[in-house]
Amino acid sequence: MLHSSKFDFLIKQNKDKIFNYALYMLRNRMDAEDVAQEVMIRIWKNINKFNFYAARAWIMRTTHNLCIDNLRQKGKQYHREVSLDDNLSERIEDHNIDQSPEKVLSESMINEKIKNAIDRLPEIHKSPFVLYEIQGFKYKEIGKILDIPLNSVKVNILRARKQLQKELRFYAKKQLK
Amino acid sequence: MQKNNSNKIEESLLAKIIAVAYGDAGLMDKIKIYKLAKKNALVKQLLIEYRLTANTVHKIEETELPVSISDKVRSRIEGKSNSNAVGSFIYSRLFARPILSTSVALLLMIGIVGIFLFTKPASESKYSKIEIELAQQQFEHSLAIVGKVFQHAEKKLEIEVISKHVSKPLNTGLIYLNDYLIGG
Repeated sequence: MLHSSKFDFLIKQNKDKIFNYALYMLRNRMDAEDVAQEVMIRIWKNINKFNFYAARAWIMRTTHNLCIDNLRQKGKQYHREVSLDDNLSERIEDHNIDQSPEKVLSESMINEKIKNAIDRLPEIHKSPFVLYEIQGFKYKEIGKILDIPLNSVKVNILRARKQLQKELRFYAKKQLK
Repeated sequence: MQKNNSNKIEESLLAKIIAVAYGDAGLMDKIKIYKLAKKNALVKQLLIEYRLTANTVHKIEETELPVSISDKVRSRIEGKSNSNAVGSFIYSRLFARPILSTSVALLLMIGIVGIFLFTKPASESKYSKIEIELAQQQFEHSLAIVGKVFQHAEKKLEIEVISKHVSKPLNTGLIYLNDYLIGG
């Protein structure tokens, strides 16, 4: 009973993080869903083994390792099959009271461009960037998850930010005008 | 000024500008960069551009995991855990405790013995009276045969074995013994 509620809590807190991370890493919805399922099953199997405070890092480390395994197995560098921004039409409908559809569409396009630019980042830069900027993990936690020194985490995030900026310079300038 | 030329900025300064734009720089760095941005157009431009990207990145919403996936996992887990739960319940209640397991074994033994005891009259009632009488007759007949065999064996023992094979050699032996004793 206790295990079940502990599991429910952990899943509720982390399921979207697991799925998003897998989605960014694998660029394929089906694979990301498979990884998310596997991670959740592993959480259940190990529910007694890890302590509650270290659970978040353990879960993301497992997700990361499974993503790497998946990429190695398939040896793929294919493009995203399903867009990350699947709910674009819903967001245009939701925002049309406050904002014009053109503006929402333009924002969504920039969002999509950024997501694609993140997609194109090398894995070594993308993992810490996604964990830090999108999922809100601390440097220390990212070091534990990816099993790399703290300094490497900072350097890789900085390089990712620079590369992202290089790719998005055109859109940034366009927006400033 | 930390500027090599009009278009290039030192790496360490760029790192600080980026950190300020993404909102994770220290207070001192923030003040330093804001002051510099007021004086230097390039620093200001970089700060604005990076901040714009940072804001967009921070606005990215997480895609929700489809409910069907978590439901699928839950049903798989619940299926496994229920079968495990029944097994572990029986094991923990009956077999993991020595006193309980001993008493269960005793109860089982008593039950088995009891079943045999109580089912015995029922098994007797399976045979009819005629069958019982026939069995008795057959039993008596077989006893009579055995009796006859014994009588025959007794006669043979008295007449043939004892008189011929036992008493005769015994007599001759005794004769030899008498002769020897009298002679000595």
